[in-house]
Amino acid sequence: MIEIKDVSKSYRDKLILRNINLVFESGQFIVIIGSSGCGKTTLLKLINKLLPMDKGDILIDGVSIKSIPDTKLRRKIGYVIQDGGLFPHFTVKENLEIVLKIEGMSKEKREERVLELMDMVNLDPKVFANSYPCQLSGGQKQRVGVARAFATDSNLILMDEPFSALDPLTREELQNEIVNLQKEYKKTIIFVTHDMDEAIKCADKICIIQNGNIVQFGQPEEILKHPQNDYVEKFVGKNRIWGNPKYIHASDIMCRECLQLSKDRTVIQALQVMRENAVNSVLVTSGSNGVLEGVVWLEDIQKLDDAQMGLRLHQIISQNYKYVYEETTLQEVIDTIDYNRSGVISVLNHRGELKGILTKSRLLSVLSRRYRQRKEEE
Amino acid sequence: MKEFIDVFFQRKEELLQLLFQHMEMTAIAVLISICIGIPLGILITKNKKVSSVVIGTANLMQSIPSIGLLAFLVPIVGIGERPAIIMVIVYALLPIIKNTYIGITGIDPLSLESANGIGLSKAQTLFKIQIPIAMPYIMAGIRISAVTAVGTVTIAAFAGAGGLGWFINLGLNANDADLVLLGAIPACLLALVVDFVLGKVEAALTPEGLKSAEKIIFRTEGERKRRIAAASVLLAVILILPLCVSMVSSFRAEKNKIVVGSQNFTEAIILGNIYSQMIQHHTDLDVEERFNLNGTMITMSAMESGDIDTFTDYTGVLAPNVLGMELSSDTEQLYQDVREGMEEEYDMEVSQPLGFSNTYVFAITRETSQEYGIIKLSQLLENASSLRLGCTTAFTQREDLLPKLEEEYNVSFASVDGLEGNIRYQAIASGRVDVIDAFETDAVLLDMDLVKVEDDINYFPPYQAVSVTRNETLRQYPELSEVLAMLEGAITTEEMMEMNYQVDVEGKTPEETAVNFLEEKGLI
Repeated sequence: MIEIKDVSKSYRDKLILRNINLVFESGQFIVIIGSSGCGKTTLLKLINKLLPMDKGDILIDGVSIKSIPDTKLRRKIGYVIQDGGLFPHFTVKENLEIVLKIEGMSKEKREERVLELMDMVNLDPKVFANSYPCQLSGGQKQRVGVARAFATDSNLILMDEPFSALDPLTREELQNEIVNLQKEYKKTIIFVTHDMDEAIKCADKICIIQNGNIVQFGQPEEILKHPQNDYVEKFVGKNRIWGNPKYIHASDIMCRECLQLSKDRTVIQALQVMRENAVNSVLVTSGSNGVLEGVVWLEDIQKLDDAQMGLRLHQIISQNYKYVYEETTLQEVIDTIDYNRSGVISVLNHRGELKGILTKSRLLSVLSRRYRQRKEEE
Repeated sequence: MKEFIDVFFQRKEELLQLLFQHMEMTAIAVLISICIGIPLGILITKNKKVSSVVIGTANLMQSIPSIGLLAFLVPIVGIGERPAIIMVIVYALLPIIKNTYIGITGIDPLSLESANGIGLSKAQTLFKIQIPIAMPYIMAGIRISAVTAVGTVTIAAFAGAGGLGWFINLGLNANDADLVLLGAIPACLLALVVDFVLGKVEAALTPEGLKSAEKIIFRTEGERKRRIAAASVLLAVILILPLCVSMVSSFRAEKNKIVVGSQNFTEAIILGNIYSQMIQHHTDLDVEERFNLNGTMITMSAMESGDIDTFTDYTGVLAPNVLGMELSSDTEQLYQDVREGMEEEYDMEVSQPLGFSNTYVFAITRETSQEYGIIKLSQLLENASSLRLGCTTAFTQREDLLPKLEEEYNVSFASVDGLEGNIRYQAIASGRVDVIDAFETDAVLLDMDLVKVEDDINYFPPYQAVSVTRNETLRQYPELSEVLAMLEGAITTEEMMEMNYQVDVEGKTPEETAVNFLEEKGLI
């Protein structure tokens, strides 16, 4: 766990960070994001003491970094920068083993470790172990950079815009790999970027900094849906959420006003309501608490004779209906709706209470509005 | 060409010795420059202000003319190798400091950030990251310094340090191109060899990763070490070997040693050899020769500091230049004044005159002499208005020479051109001037068949040759006095002129000329 307590930092009379308080849980992928000059890189560099803080303290697993000598602290924390920050006069192997060598690891163990590390980042040791950085592509360099940060098996890895200089395809590949590595090895990664897509893609938690202040710290979804202020909203982008369907839930797009009748109403009343609204079904709830009991289909009513028109709805309701919960994602909603003959899906909360409905036409209009907005933006 | 080859074979042993000496001085100077320059270059990367001051100073030092620097150093550190080495260091420092600075500051800041970030200490970053990456620059600086130093060391001969500059200096004095080449060609070759070897070292020390991608050859650590070792051996041969040779010879350094000095013109060098031969022959003392010192001032500084024990000079030079006296045209009076002055002010003994005098004379061609009927100075002065004078700047400037003629004797030449050294002879040979100033014993006068105009009005101050010796040395080695006395009155003007002729025109070495003369005279 990393606790940042009341940390301030100035540079030449300019306040860069103002009373920062943050707690990062272990094993999480934390992304610090903000526009350039906001103080995000400064915050990162305070953690491994590349920059001294003016005020406050940072604790790693309860120990103040002030009590650990600089070089000792840094060797316990992985550090990855843009372009890998490789040493041009060292081979890949030498770049990976330099700290191990300094720490006095034996030659055999070092070689073994280098092989492990290269395997980990999908670089063939036979091909690349003896290559020099200038012989590698940007992506390969950064793989070495990442591997080097894992070399000493530190639990915490700091990454300062590591992928910003890479082409989009390579960047995507490396983003996926780093997330997988982080989950697999349960590392705590603190990752600085200015790219919101990258942040949403990788982060367990995102920390947004504006002018040296934390404006929002939370899960990606929270930030997408509830931007704290205009800055965050502008940064996140209004339609960012559409690029991430996993964060769009049924409750976000459902129609809250829907036809529903209490189970104690009569068939004739239901028939009347259906006629007035030109629909072929109506949802039946338990009344007071709105728990969904079932559905009454027009075709089922038509099979009844006149004498049965006074029956209560609960006597004839069908369980033949589809429902989703409020937090069901857009993706799953679309999958569900395809198999439903009526095209109506009920949206329930966990107590089974009816909260809204989704229809094919509703989905169509939501998605087409998004499409129109994007066209306008372009 | 044939002459050059002859000179080469005649002097090959001397050449080898001077070459070693040259290499030794270069090596010492470059090694010291490296020891100062690299740490300084690294140090100044920490502070931009300091760096501009240091590099500015080094730049400034670079622009000091080397001869001037040498003249400035001799009174402070004496003569010989010390001022020479210091001078070379002054010039060698700049490229090393500058290249080290550029190499270190040119390192990608991202490399340094990551070195810092992964927990390398400052020293580890310096030795494992910064210096290796800057190495190609640093080596290039050392290479420039070393090659330049080989050239600069030739100037060292002016402070009596020897080296290949010795031949160059001798050749310039004697107007002997072959002798100049005998110094210059080996110096050039040495520079090329130094450049080649350091180039190999540079290549071995340049990390493969810093070369362009297609030139990279992967080498294992063992291979890299072997390459560096091989380059180091080469380097040791040209740097360390001369040092060892000189160390061995300095261990043999004799205690009972007399250092004979001389200035850097033919006559002085011949006289130096004569004294050296005489002392070697007649005493058990060891003699070290410190010839070729640039002028009376440097030579006197060396005398005062005890770097040399004895040298020869002229009363007419010592009086104004060393003792600050007015020049008297009375030969005997001037000698007495100089003798007393040197005794009192410098605690040095001035010998009896050696016999010859080397005063200024006017020289004219035989044709001019016949045309105007000039054989005496009074006759020349009468015809001055129709004669063009070509003379040294010293002659036009010194108050007792041309200015006095113009003022007191109301003489004005048709034209006066300041010409240096041998250019005067070329000018009179080609008929561009009619009269030149010369020294009485100049060999070229004989060679060119010029007429020396006899000074019938006692105009030129006397320039009697004398030897000057430290009294301290004479007290320590009383046997020396006897040897010095043997040369008093022993050399006539004609004999001196003949010896100059042998060296300057016939191309004999000053040493063999001196030996021949002494043998003929039965002095050895």
